Amino acid sequence: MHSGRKGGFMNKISAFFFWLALLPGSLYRRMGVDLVQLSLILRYKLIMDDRRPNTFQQTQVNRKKEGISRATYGTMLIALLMGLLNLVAFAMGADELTYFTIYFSLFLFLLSSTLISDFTAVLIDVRDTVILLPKPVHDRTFLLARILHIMVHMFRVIVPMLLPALVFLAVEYNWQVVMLFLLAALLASLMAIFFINAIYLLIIRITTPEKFKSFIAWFQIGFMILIYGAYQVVPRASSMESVQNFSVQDYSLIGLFPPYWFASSIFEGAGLDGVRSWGWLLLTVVMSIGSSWVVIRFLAPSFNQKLAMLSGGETGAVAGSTVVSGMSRVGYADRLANWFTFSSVERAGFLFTWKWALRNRGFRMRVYPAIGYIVVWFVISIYRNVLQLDDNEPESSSIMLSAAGLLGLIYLSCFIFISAIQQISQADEYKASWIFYSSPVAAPGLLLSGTLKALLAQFFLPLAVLLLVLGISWQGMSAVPNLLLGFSNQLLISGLLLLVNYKKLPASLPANKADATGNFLRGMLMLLFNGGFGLVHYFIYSFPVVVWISVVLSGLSVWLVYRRIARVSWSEL
Amino acid sequence: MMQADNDSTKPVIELIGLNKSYGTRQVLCDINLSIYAGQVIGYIGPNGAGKSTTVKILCGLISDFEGTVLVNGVNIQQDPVAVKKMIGYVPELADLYEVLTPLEFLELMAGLYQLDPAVSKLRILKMLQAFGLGGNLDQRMDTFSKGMRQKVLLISGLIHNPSIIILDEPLSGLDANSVIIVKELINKLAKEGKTIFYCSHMMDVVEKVSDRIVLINQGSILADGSFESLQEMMGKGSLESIFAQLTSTDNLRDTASEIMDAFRQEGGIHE
Repeated sequence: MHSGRKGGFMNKISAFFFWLALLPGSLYRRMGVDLVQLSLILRYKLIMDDRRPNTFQQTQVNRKKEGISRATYGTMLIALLMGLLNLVAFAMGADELTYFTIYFSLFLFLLSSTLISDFTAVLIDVRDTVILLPKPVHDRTFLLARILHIMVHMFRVIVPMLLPALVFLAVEYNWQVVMLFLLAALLASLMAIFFINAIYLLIIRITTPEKFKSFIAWFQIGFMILIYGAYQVVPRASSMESVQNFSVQDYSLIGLFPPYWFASSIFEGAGLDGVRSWGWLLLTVVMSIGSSWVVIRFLAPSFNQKLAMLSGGETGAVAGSTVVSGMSRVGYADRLANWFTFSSVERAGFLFTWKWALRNRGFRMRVYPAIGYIVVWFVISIYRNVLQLDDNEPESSSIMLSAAGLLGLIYLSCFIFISAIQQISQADEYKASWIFYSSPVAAPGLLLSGTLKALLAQFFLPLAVLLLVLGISWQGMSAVPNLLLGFSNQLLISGLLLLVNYKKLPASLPANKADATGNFLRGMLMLLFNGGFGLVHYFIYSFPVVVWISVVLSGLSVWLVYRRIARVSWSEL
Repeated sequence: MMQADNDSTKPVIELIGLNKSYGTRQVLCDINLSIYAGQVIGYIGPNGAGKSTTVKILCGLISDFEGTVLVNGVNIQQDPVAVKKMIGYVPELADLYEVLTPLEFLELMAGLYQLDPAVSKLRILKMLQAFGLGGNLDQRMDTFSKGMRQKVLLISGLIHNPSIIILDEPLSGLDANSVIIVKELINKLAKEGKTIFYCSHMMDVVEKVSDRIVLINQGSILADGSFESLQEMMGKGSLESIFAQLTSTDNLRDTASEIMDAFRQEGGIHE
């Protein structure tokens, strides 16, 4: 068996999976794959995985010195926790077939989402284009190396994720169930890998490679929002009782639902009650292996070609269209800048931040999901306030309900700009921030206030307009002072946040320099602070005079804080 | 993997009727070029002329082009792997797998070229030491300077002793002494009969290093010949001035004057 060459060292877990992945060597050779090259590429890909910092290790100070070689362990720990959470499936539903169907749904879901988020890093490593593709290696070898790499990568997640369920099943059932479950889980994993792989390859065939990257980013954002929405809506929509009585066997179309196939295929050998059919097991095997065949046979050949173009300099026509779409935006941004900024430096900060926040993929990826969560919240609140107001509740309580709802929306909207303020200083291209330091700006405060205003104009202004409309339509003009107080408090909180924590120029720090643990604590403090404001506001809500006085006080504080920001000096950064 | 064929009448690289477009934009229009063993081709042209597209086609990175590309008689569309074996490619400002050490990275490269590990290890060590990276063998490349990375890339393109070497701006980031080393290296490689395809914007280097200069603009070859023959055609002068005459539609001195005029002609300074 091939053990690769001497070179870098993998950690033990990676080495084991490496050995496992190359076990069917003679099969690979028959497929026309060069084994030496395959093992070499896979080996180094795994070594690089181990050295890539994960979320835990990015904050380590002595990273350069010792390097990271155990990134894998952290990933596995998270997967183990997810696996424990998945056990909830065995508490939902009326029968065992339902348990397993729900378990496999959760399993496939978590696996697919991990795959999707990792694919950009693992599968679409654009460096491969210049480094690997000019080498005399067949497309087939590349593809298999990539698939094996993904599989190893996934199995490092799958094994710890399955572990809690395996222990649970061994205790509650018998070894037959455990074995069948393991088999079904492996087939399910295989199917998830090839299914997602096929989707990616298909997308890359249909669209231009240039659009592909931003498509993935948008897809990931949408996906995160979907998950969040599901978590918010599902428990509300159905009561616990109906969950307990739920059985998949009541639905005839369940046969179209892949998790059901895996669940059903367990029952045949284990002698449990359920739909007995070898057909399901056969179906899973055929689907898993069939999809891999389709990927290798039809989709792979064009993949490397497209990948080559992905990092290429073919930007001609596309660049043109980007500029055009940017132009109309700039007109709008210019007008906003005229309204909100009072000096050329502040205006420069405003316009730079406005454009950068709109166009930078990394920033969008970090901030837009937060917006999605708020949108979900909005929908739920409107649903509660508008649709359920007609219930036969006493008049007063329904007004207080919408007061809480409205204030909830106003004070929650800070999540969006808080994450925007937190993220605006981080960028991959942070080195380009020399322009701020080399230009003759006496104090960076005006740049900062321009930045803050741009973020508020982008992430708070549209929301404020929407809330104004909603608030007035819910409660008439009497809501205006409360809305004003809410908005003013939001401006105050954003200003204080920047002043206390984030006196950093936009796009001026490397992404992993951020002090994650400190950020978390500060974020929590900020939430308490914001919640405190909201709570006080809630108590004075029905006293217009108090509200008006508070508006004046809050407005005055906003003016003072923003004036202070404009005076931040270089030494304070 | 050396090509034993020393018949100098037979071209090593042959581009016949090469066309390539991205959507409606034609990047290469009917390129015909025959390159012979031992030639050092200086492949020059302004930005967007189609240089890197040509290089990508030659390296097998782009295969959906029209026309024929033969490398030592092998059609690149039919057998890209065979062609890739004969070529050493040093990309421009390329990424490296930074978490690897140069030793690890080059062992991976050598392995992909199917070199015997015993041979390649020795070769890698010698080359790294010659380039002054002997002390950085086991250091991850994320700490490397631009010049150090460029040296590793150069080695990765030469490691398998290819008969054809494609260099895309190989001097970028290198210090003056390293530039001298690389220029001398190119001369020595050409003397051994290797064909070198040198892409660059640095006219003075191209002028000294190449024995044949191919100038392309907007996807077509404008000039092809030795520096001396270009001078005969365009009048005495540096390659820089010949380049300007052939590729620029405006008078470049006027352009500079226009830039300076921007200060004078405006009504007032905007704050």
